[in-house]
Amino acid sequence: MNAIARIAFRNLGRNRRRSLITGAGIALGVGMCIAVLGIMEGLSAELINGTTDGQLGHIQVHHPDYLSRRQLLKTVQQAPVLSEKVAAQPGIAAVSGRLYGWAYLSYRQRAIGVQLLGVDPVHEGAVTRMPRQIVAGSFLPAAPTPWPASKQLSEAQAAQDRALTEQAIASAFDQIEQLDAAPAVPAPAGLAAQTQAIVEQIAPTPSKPPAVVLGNKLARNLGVRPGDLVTVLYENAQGAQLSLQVQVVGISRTGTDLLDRTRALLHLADLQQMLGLQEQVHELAIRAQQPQQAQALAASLQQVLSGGQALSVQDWAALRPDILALITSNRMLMGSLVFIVFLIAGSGVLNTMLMSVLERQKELSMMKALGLSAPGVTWLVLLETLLLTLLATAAGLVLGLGLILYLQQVGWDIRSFGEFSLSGVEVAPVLRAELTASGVVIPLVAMWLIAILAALHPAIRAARISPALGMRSA
Amino acid sequence: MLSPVFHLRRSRTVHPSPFRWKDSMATYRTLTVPLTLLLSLAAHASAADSLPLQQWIKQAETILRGDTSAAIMSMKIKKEAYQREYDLMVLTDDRAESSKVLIKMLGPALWRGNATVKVDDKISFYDPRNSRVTVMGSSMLGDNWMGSHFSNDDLMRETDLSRHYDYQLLQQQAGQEEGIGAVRHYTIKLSPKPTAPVAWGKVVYQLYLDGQQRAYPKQLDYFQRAEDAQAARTLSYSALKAMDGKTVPTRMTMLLPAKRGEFTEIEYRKLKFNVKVSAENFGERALQ
Amino acid sequence: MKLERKLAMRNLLRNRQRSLLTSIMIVATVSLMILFQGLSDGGHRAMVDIGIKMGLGHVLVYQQGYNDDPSLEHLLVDATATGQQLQQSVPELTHMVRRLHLNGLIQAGANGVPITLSGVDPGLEVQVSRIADRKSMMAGQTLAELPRERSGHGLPGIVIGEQLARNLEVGLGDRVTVSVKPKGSSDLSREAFLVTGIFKTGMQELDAFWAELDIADAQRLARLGQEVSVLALYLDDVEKVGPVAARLASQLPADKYEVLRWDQVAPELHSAVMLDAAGMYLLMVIVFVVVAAAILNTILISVMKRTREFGVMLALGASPALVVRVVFWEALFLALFCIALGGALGYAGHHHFATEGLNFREVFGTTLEAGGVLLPDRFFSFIYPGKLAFCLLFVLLLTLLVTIYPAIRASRLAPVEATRHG
Repeated sequence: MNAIARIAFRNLGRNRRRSLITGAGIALGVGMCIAVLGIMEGLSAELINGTTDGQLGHIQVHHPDYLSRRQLLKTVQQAPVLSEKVAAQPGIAAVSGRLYGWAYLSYRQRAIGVQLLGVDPVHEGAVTRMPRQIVAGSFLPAAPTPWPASKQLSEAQAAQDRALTEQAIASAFDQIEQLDAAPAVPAPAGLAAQTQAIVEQIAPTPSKPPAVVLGNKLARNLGVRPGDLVTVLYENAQGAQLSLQVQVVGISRTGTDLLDRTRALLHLADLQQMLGLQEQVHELAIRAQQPQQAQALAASLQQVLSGGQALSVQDWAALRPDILALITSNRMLMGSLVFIVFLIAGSGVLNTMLMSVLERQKELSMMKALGLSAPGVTWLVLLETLLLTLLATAAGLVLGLGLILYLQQVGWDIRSFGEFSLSGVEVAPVLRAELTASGVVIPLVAMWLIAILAALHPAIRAARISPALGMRSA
Repeated sequence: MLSPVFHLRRSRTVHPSPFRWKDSMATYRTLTVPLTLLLSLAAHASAADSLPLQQWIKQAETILRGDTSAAIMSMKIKKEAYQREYDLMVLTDDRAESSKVLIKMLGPALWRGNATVKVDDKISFYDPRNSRVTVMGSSMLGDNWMGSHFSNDDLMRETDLSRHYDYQLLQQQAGQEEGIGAVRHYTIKLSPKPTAPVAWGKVVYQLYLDGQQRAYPKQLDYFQRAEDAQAARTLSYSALKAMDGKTVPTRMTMLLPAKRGEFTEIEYRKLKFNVKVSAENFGERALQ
Repeated sequence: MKLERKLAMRNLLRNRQRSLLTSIMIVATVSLMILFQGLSDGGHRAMVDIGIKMGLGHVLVYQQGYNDDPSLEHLLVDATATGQQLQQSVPELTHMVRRLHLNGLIQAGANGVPITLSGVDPGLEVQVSRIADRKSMMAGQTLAELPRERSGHGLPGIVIGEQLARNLEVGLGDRVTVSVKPKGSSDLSREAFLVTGIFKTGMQELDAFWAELDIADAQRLARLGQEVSVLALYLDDVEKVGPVAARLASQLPADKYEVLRWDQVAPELHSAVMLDAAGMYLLMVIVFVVVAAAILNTILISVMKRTREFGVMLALGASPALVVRVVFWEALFLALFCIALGGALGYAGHHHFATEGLNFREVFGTTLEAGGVLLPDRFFSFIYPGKLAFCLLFVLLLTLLVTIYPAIRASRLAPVEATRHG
């Protein structure tokens, strides 16, 4: 055994050039495979980032019924507490609450139906690139608009309100009675002013117009620029139609047509106040420290959050199956390519070992004549291959790691392929490789297996050489 | 269909009718007319067939509106999330082909001065706090009107119970109604006509006739599908009172069986028929 | 000259086993590369195809301004005439469909959902759209399968998404109404429809907020004439999109029409595919490097093994140049043979996958199910002739290139030493 190993090693050393060439081939194969897998990971990561960084985040938490119907009242309750709880979980990088609403935005003679999105400007930036998609003006200020707290009416005020209603009813009565006799009676003086005072207490207007960021196409269609005041007509959670003046502070561009045409961003706290959904959100967008962990993290979050209100936790893949499908098909294509690389490397090994066996027929038959058993010969050839492969894969590992590190640091410029934007966000034009354990282990193990498989035929062939034939052929 | 208040008669029918429909309708008619004649000769026509069901429904549906009307009413909304009461003034004008409705909110403070106007199938909202008029788009159609169990669509609804359905008498019996005396109750099944633009699969209309053969609405059950046993919503009329010289039901209650405990109730406080209103009463100036 | 070739050929044939080993290598590489290239490009085309079939098209013709403000104010008024004109002037056209997109409210009983309505030509749409495709139908029929003449019930059919059906609490054969705001009017137009089909695409936006109906119904509903939102053009080859779009853009008056390519309308999809293609390109380079190394390996070994043979040749008076040429001829014959054989094998494989398709689900199991709805059942291999030619030529050049070193080595052998060796 020991002797066979020594002979195998000596054989490799004896025909150094051939060993070197075959070894180089294997090393190159392994190195390239590692690089390929690294690039594949990098590409997938780029696709995922492009998807998640624009708007999605890695994980989202909703009321279980929210996504299918998008009803205003299907909210996540106690959002601040929940956000903190989620943020405290291991593996979570950032959490941002979002609230959605529908409204009409009007400016001068134009009115456009829009989606209102309330975001927390500070946390949102840690989850997605939303705050960095501004093309004019600025993003929402970090602090919410100062909004006087709504106060319940006092007993006296409630009575006054009732009196005002009675007054209005009485006036309406008069109006009805006198409809036949034009003109209509004017509304009692002071009614509007007193109503205004009461309304101001129940539903106070903010001390200044809340800031809003509009999509670039929306802004163009409305004809507004940063600094302009627009009116929002919306329905709050209690079903009341309300309107409010807001000030455009910035114009955003996501590249996604629908968002750029119909989205208006507000401070989360402002929108909560407007809709009467304090401490509630429709969506918690979460950034994971490791995007690859999103699915596992989502599952564990679902566990952690169970027990309280019903919530549904989904990772980006469940939310955007189209992107997942792209990545999956991508992986499969790359997987088949890696397979081809191995096939080529394997046939290289087969080639080399077969030749080396053929070449050494004389030598091998001599050894057999000297009493080496047939399994011994097989073992010798296999051991040679294994030794060669081990050394070569070690070199390949160094090569592959070097390539990956290079591609990680420098990246590969893909600008020549055209402009890139994903989910509207421009993807860095440089493709970077990403190192993963499986991306290193798989090529190594696969190469060993393939090398041994490839050597099996020459090894068995070598074992079959008859001692006499070997002598004669010399 | 909903209530006289919200019952806005269809002003302009969308008449799709590519020619082949008309043609097939025509053939249908020529075939069936002799057929029905034949049938009515053979077996004497059943009593139900000859009853003016459609006319009764039309009468019941318009009982709270004359050509024109003005009313003061309160609306009470009870929902799981909140409970609220409004006082409203409603003007209607049904003289022209297209009806007009103005709903002005009188209280409480948060809504006082808000108005909803429907003219020519166009619904606009007025908000006194920034004096803006917004015209409703189709996406808001499904929203509830001011948080009630009536949707904007009910305001808009072009389904006229007295025209888009086929009628079938299910039941009739003698009974009593407080304030009127002896009446005859009828239960009528309304099935939408084949191409009628209505979202209901079936409506069961209960009404009664007084001695003068005047029809009063009693209860309407709306079913999503014709074969459903459970109504999607129920509108009932009660509290008969004399208003402006006519006996009318003054309370309407909308119930959703799926949401137990929730309802919207309208109670008339004043009702005047045939008042003198003009287009101005529904114009933008009237809102302010 | 003739001698060299004869020598080269004889050398190859004499050592059949060695030649065979070397050729296996190259044949495998060439055929696998063709196969792989076909599958990879086929995969990209499939991806693009999915996107294009989700209500897009290869080239889209709009009224100027529609994309910034897709309202009824920006409809193609003379769609029919324009369509006919396009039919004649674009020979690459395989299908052209008209679509009318409307925003509306769909209602059933007390449930109402605001959705996008897409009015389509059912017979044409079913050939180009995945939403209208038979395979996407969870229940019922596609619009195209409905009888042209309406049956006894008389209601026009509508096909809705699976999630929408759930939200509306409707099933097949149920009545729904659809309301839209007609052009230039503030009132609403409403009609009843019969749910005749329920589709599922896997895309939330489509499954929950999308419905398709006959374009004539949509036009009548919106009180329009022959106006449409978009003319979607499908070409016989996705590669022709660029030139056709450019040609149309210059042909049609720019103040009236807007011609967009699919990659402009769906930049996300385009980016994803391009990113993927870029990755593939890099990997191809890597494969070529590996292939080159493998070929070099084989030829080098085969030359080294024949040290004695070349030594004898040189000793017999052959010039080093002759030795180089013989080695080159050998390589060339070998390469040509291998490329021909590999090409044939690869092409046969490609042909198989181009006609039968590669069933990803069968091959890779159920891992795809999560996003599986979106993937086509099969990818069909596709080969760009230019790419194929380049590939084959490249292998040939590569083989010759890596022969240079062994050939020169062989020519430099000292005759005496070489004969002594081995």
